[in-house]
Amino acid sequence: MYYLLLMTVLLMSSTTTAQTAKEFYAGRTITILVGSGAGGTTDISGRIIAQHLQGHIPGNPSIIVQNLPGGGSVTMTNYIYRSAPRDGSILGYSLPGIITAQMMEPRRAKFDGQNINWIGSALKYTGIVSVMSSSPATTLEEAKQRELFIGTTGRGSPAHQFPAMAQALLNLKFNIVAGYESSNDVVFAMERGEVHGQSSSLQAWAITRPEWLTDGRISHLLYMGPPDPLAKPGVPYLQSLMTNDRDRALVDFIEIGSHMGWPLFAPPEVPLDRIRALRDAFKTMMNDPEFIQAFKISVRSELQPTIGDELSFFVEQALETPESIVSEAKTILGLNNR
Amino acid sequence: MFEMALSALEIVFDPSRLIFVALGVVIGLALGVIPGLSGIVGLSLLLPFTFDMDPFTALAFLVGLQAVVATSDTIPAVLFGVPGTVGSASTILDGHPMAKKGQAARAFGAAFSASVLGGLFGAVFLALCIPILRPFILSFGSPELLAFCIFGLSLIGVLSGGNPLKGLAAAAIGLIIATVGEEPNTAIERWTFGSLYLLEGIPLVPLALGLFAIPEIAEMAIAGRTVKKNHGVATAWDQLTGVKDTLSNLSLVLRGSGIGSVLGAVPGIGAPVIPWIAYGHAMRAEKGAAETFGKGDVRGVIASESSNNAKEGGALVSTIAFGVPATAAMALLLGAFLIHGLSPGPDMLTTRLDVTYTLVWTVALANILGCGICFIFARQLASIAQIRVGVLAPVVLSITFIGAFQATRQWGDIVALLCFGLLGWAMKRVNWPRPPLLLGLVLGGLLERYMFISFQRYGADWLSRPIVIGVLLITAYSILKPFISDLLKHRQKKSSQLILAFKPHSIDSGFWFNLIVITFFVITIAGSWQWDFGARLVPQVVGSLGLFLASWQLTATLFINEPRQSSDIDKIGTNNADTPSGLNNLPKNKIGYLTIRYFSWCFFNLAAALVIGLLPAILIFLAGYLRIEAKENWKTTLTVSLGAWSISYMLFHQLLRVPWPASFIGDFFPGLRASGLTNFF
Repeated sequence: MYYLLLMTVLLMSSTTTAQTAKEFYAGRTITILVGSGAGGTTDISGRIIAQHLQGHIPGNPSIIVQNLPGGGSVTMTNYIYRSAPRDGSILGYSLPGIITAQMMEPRRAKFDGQNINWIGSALKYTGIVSVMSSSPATTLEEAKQRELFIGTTGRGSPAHQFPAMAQALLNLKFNIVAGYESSNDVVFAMERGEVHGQSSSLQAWAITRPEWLTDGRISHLLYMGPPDPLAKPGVPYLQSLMTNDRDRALVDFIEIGSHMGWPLFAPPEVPLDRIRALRDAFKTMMNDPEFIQAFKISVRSELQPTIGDELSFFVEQALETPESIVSEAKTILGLNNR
Repeated sequence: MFEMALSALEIVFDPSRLIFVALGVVIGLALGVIPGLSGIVGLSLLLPFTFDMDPFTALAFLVGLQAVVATSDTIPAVLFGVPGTVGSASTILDGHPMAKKGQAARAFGAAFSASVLGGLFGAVFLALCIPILRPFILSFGSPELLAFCIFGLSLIGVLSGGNPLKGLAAAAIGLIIATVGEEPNTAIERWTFGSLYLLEGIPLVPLALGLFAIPEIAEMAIAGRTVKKNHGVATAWDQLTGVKDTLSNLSLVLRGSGIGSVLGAVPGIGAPVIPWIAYGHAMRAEKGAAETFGKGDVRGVIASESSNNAKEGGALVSTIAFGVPATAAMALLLGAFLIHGLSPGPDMLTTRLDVTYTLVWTVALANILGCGICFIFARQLASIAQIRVGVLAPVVLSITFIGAFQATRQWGDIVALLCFGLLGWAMKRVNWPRPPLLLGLVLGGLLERYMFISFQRYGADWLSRPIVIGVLLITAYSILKPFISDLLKHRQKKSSQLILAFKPHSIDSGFWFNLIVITFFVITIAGSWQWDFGARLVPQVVGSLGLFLASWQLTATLFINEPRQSSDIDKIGTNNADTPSGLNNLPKNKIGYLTIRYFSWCFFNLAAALVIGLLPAILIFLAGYLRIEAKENWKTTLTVSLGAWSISYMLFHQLLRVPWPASFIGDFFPGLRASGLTNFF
């Protein structure tokens, strides 16, 4: 009886319309679900965004962060897409790879990026394969001659996909050792000589071993994804080494997540004025010196912002990747078991 | 360095910081008591509040919280056999039997004093190790970790006491459960049945709660009596007895905390294994432990608890020095470091030594505070065990449900809780040891990981590394020792004759359970046949071993009448490092009937949750159980159910902001989720 009553009251209250975004968000708590475990770039950047975004949204709601790890953010995105309330009170913040996941693993990824309301992303992901300078090979040419052990977490991660794709397209002698718990553990394995290198990002290096970036302990073999503001000249760029259309398309495909970076998004069907309010807030925050500073301190990187409508446009294009390229990529990455 | 340590002491004892350490300690204690909640929850919740603090205060606050979770998680472990966090699972083995004997206060006294000493030892270890830290930790590569996992597996023999065959088979089950999920090298999904939940593997929290909490509450509910029967109120004296126990076993405390802090510092070993290793060590090394451990020996509590707290200091070490978090909670703490602009790494041991020492002092201070607070309330806590079971069981069960759900916040958590609850109950009834299964699960993932990395990287050469050789020799010695001494004794005596004859009376529930286990292994072997080599190796090898062990066990129960004989193996064999079932005075069919009722309530809770949401279902479950099952009057029913539910609502919904899984009714009437006050449908 109690529930029936409650339901009626709530149904009535929710159908009263014509509420402005400001009225909706005033006094409300927004939850950002971060699609990774606690700690790490995804979690930290998500928290910094949460902390600063609240002041820019009309009505000044408070924002809290929850972690919903699993499947490279696919679990979280499924939840947002299928179960979360569609009122703009729950947002998702994911790892870079969810759109590639949608294309390669439709069985798992039960969402459609076209219907997701993209709010924006603050940081892109430039993958860079780096090895200890004491390794048998420290340049791309040498890596075609001599074996290098590259440590990764598992086949699903970009840290595996980048070197695996580069290996296939450039005939590199990588021996990819998968199964490490986290990218930090791979750094540690490099330090004790268990593996020679890993695919990571300069921004991640700036967090884990900033001194290695300057003291010459590591050498960078190649990078892929969008240009990195931290990058030094002279490191080969994967896309520019490609010689035919098929290879270029494969690299484009693997770089989709890189360009999107870490996106913040809302479920489908959220009222448009709230999406606009959130996108505007995100945009203003990208110019807020306080946020820029906090982001720089904790994520160790300059901003590379992309606002929602740009993201939507990008996703639409990315989803048009031909089926043949997607299946070829799956074969190269060893993901046909998925 | 000494000056740094002193100035750090000043920083910590600054009253404005002291208050936050104390606050952190109180929150940490509260999180430890509630099953399923751990420091991770508290850290992620409180992290935003530290944004505006200065780094010292922020870290002192968070480290203070984390340092004492391992102190209070003892409380539900001892009282109800429900692990407060996974780290206290081994405390149950002796702590809970002590509570059953009316010695809860003594167990608390021992546990808290062992915790504080362990915590202090961990802090000292952290402080002393700073100069030699890097080379020490760098000497642990994947091969060394693999050797450690093998050593950990050798403890199964000790923990399975009652019957090594059953213990090893249980461990094999655990190892196979650990293989559920995506295999990283081949990307093959092993036993996921297309579910995203299983893709990440079965999380530890629902499994540990299912294996231990559900059966213990079941026993409480079925026996219809409280944990502690017919004993007077605990006195302060009981607690002091516990403290005296700890002090008279000081060398055990030191060894336990040594194991805790050293292994805690090595990234990759994993926090849940550590107390088991300390417990296993104590069981082997302490005099007479083989007979008394698992039946309420205070030394079992001391060993687990000292290591459990000491590991925090150790784990902090590797987080600080390498930026490699040794535990999940440390990963969050690492995040806090970064947000406050601190870079864990070599700097922390040189130019930022002030921060490091602040943390050392905080760990020490938090342990003293936490232990003090627990001590003050220990007697009141012990008296919870006297609340009548009809009220206690549904409340503890509800908390267990919500607690298990915190693992990944998906329906799968509750399903896993109940499945492993059934398994745990069956194992308890037919006297199969549960600890080896948990240990198998905890070690399984690590074992497979380090095995593949070691072989891929070093081939067979991994065996030639000095630490590996050392650890493997110790392992071999500790496995073979009882057999060798047994053999020597046998030589002096006449060899005994085994009588082989079919024993029809042995076809009982144990027989059927054994048959199910055999089927499980057969399915395991058959189901993994088609997989790529990398994904197949462990399930096939472990499955075959398990099949062999379980079949042997079945044959032995059916055919072998072994004359009793006193030997080392038999001595271990006479007890079981697991709480023996206390229902023997009830008729079998009554137990069966009550078991079905109990689990019906559990599954009713799940079904109701799917329809109306977990939190609303808990209210209906509480009221229903109290009124129908426990036959409480309406006044008690309403007071208890509304009271317990309101607290859960405030804590989980309002404070922790748990994203509840979507229920049927919520999907049907999305309006129910519109308000922040009611979005739990």
